[in-house]
Amino acid sequence: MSDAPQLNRISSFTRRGESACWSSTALHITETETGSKQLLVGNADCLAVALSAALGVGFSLPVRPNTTQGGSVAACIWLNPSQWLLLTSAALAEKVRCALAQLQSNGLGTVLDVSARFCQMTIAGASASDFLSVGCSLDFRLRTFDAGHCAQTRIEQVPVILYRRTLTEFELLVERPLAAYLWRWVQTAAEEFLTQEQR
Amino acid sequence: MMSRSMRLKHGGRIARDTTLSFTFDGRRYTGFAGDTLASALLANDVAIIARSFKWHRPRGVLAAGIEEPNALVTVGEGVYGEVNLRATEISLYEGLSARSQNCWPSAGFDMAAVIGFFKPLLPTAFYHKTFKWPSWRWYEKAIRNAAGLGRLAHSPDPDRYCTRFHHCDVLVVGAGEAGLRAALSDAQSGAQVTLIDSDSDMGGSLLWGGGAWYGREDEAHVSSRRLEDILRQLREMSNVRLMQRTLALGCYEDNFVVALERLSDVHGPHLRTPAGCRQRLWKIRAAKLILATGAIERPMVFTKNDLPGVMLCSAVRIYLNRHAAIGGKNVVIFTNNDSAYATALDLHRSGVRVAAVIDVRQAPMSEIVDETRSAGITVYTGHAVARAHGRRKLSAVRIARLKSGAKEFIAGTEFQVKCDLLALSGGWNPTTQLFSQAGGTLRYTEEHACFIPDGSLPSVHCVGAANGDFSPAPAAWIQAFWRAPDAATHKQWVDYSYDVTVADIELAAREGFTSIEHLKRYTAVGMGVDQGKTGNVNALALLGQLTAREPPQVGTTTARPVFHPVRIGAVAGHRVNELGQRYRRLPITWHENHGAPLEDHSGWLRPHCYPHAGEPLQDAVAREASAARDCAALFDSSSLGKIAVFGPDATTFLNRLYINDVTTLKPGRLRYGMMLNENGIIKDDGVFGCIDATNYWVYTSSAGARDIHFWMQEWLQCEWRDLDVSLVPQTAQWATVTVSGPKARTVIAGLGLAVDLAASSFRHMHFCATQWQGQPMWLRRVSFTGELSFELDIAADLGESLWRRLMELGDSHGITPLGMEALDVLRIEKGYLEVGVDTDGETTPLDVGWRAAIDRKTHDFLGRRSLLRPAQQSSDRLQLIGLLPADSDRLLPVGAHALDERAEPIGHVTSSCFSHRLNRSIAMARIRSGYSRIDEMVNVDVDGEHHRAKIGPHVFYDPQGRRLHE
Repeated sequence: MSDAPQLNRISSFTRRGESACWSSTALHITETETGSKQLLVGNADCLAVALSAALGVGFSLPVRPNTTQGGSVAACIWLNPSQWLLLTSAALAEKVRCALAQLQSNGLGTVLDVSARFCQMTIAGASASDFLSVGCSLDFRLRTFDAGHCAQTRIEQVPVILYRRTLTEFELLVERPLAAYLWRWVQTAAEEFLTQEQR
Repeated sequence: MMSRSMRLKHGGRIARDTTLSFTFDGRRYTGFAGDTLASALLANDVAIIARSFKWHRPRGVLAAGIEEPNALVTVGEGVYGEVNLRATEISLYEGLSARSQNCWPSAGFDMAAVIGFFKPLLPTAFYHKTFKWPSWRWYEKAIRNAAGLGRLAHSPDPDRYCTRFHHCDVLVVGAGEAGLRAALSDAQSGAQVTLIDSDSDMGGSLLWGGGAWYGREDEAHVSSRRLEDILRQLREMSNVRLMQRTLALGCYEDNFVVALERLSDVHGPHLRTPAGCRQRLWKIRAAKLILATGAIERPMVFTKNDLPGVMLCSAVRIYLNRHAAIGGKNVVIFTNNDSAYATALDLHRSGVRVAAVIDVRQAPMSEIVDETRSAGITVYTGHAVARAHGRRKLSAVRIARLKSGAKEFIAGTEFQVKCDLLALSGGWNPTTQLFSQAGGTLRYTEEHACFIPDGSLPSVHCVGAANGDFSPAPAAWIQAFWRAPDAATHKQWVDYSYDVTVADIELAAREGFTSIEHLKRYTAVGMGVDQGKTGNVNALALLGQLTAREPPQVGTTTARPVFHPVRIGAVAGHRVNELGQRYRRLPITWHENHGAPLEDHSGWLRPHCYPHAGEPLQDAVAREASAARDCAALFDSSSLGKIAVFGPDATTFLNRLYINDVTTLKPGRLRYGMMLNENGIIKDDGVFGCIDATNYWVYTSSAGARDIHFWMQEWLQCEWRDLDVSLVPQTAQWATVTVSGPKARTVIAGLGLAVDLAASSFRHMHFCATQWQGQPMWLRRVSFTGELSFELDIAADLGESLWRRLMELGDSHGITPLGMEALDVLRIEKGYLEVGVDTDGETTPLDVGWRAAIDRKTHDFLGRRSLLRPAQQSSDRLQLIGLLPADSDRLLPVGAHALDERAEPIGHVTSSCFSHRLNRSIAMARIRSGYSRIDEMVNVDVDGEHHRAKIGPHVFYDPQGRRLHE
């Protein structure tokens, strides 16, 4: 028996345990092996100082609503005026936790581990935004949802956090209880993006 | 007998090199690519296509578009069959199989048509008046069978449907000339424009002879060139999206338009579309909405105006110019306006004999009238068609001269003209339904004898005919004419779709149904599948005539979405079968891998029970419940709502929400509490735990987690903005496993947690943070079974491991996984209420025995003031008590009514089970004045049988709670 945490969470729900991966010429959807996810609560400046120290690089939190701050080591998603979701590699998680624990003890912020709360998918390809439009009412035109934008929205009525990495790549976070449903929906909705040969 | 070919040798937009074979009512016909089913049937001289809804009258094609009220057919076979489709909107394809509906044995000869003989005895709404005794239900089935449309297949729809959201700067609905020009104009200014049109070709009326009606010989060529030029420009622009075969169904707030795209017309298993779907529902949000939806022609009302062979002028022209099909070879035209003359001229030029044009106007002055006369066509002005002749198809019309004012015929002026096609034009109704749905209002204009948009909305504009722009119509191009003054009003059809006649409207007016909304509901005018597209304005005008009002005084009915019938599958989209319900999944999958059937509990799929091989479910439930009472049981309670509440004002915040005193809760302690809404009604219950004065865990019911979080946010963001509190929903972060039973402590001890589990140190309602395998864990001593219980929260990723480990540790102690059903038995034995099951939208804490807690609390809390109202304080309320059936084996069904000695209902059963521990049936119930009825007997009605039951306290097992504290 292995006590290792489940990293491929959606796969554990899929029939026969097949991998959570779907691909066509213009659309690729895969479950992202999850790293660390920390929910930061507090003042953006204080948190940024602590984070910069932990990560060893200058890091600021996004203060414009529905935007993200990305870097080579971490990405931070604006959730509300005093909460952010920080995505880092599992290796960096402990460093971040320690730095923020210090902050927490000084009453300047709070950090909550939410790593197990979400499943994460990457949706990439030329048809990525068209695919998301099958179930999501957001306007994905670049002038309203450019790279670096994020939203807490719904896909097929499932609450998700969505952010756009690049023109053709989105990251999607869904709470794990509804991840199996959403993945089944992904498989169904993506069928219209199959090429003629794949049909 | 061979049928005549009604196809012209030249012309039309059909592909004559692509012959398509199809069947109608089992008979094989051919048509061409570019035909609709209606045009192909007309070309094959098939006159009767359907039978009418109520009187089973033979009906042919009236129109050529979505407004068609008559020619409803079923297309496809078996599960692929689709009913109530208009033959006018079905694109012909090879192998199409269609059949008439609402008739037997065929549309040509329908036995049910005999009902027409009883028409004088069965006026409108007769069943409202007649079938009241003994009950409408007694007649309902027979009447529903007699009246109706196509019959649906009884198996699930095998087709697939998809959906898509879309955003644009400008959405133009309708690709006629006005729509195309509007799209081009906006696109040239740089806007992202989407243009949708229901037709398979863009162009609207340009496709059949010109946006205007002045059908000069060169007009068709000019129209065609104009259309090609605009389309070419639009196609070259990258900021324009053209969507054909897409019909706007409804307009909602903020320019949200729902439209249906027909991806395939094929009905059968060999559907081949790029998306693999039959239809796609578009949900479009536009900054600006331009409605270029055109106008729909009105028929004329006269006696027997529903005979096959009677068509709208626009339809005759569309079939002629687009499909090279004609509905007859000897045509009479009946009109009150100039537009019909274009039809006369087009027919004449195509070599079809136009026997006469009958114009109700005394002296029409337009150029086109003169042109028609010059072409040798006889024009009778100041005349009207009094009635059509023919039994199953038009054979002649009777015409008479009108007196000035057009209210009466001049006696002795009647004459008859033979014809096989009568083309009608009673004027044009702008298609304003979407505009009305967007919030626009209409006004009646005498100039055009129709309702037109009364100005624009800030971001919704009507253009072209939809806006009442009938240019280049000259002055006096139309004269309102609502009905030929013939006496046989019971044969003058106003609404073809629901068989409503002038006589029906007269009856409604006589009986006082003079509001147009009342008329609609009384006669069902406008309630058919065409939603009154051809009949509504005639109906309201006729009602006006009967009640001495003009159309603007009568007003219009409300145009609600959807504009056109839509398959329920298209609305559902992907949300069918296993995607039909968004079930939440537990993080632990051990249950399903060990044969536990999963069931929906508050939106979560949770194990019902864990039956052994061959074990009946009820035995498994009894075994699991016994294990919890005798040794140890393991329960997956991961769905338990968990909200982290923290911040300097966390205590104040929670103290306002809970009816319990939060200020006295010490760190490391839990308390069971209730939250109320402003009306004092129980909203949710559960325990909450104090980490320190600024940090709390709030545990909610499984069903309530999301709602309670939002509700808390609402109070913080909208009402108590002075409080510094943060909320983080953490339900999904943690897997929660409950070990319950006398041996629970022993099992938990095996985990090696750094917690002193002794009863004296880690007591009931204590909790603490600890670690398991180096990972954070929360340990709570709290129980929903009445036994010694421990709840363990571990990161959801480790839930499966923890579950397996506890099963191993408990193996030697007889640990048993516990399903939802056994948990329910345990909590009913203990009388623990479940919010939403034992409470409803009227239950206050006073009704469930919580008066003492409320009295103790000195601070204010949400709902307190409401609880002080006399009605809430009354002892005559439904109160939660226990019921013990006199027959201890009798299970009382949930919802069964309790009756007093006068057999009056005094409450109902809310929870019920058979308790193996107590060896008897037990139930919880809400009984009026229940607390004062303790030890009384009541009758419980179970399907008409009365069963005696004794009222008692609702705690049946271990009422002192000793086992909890062991």
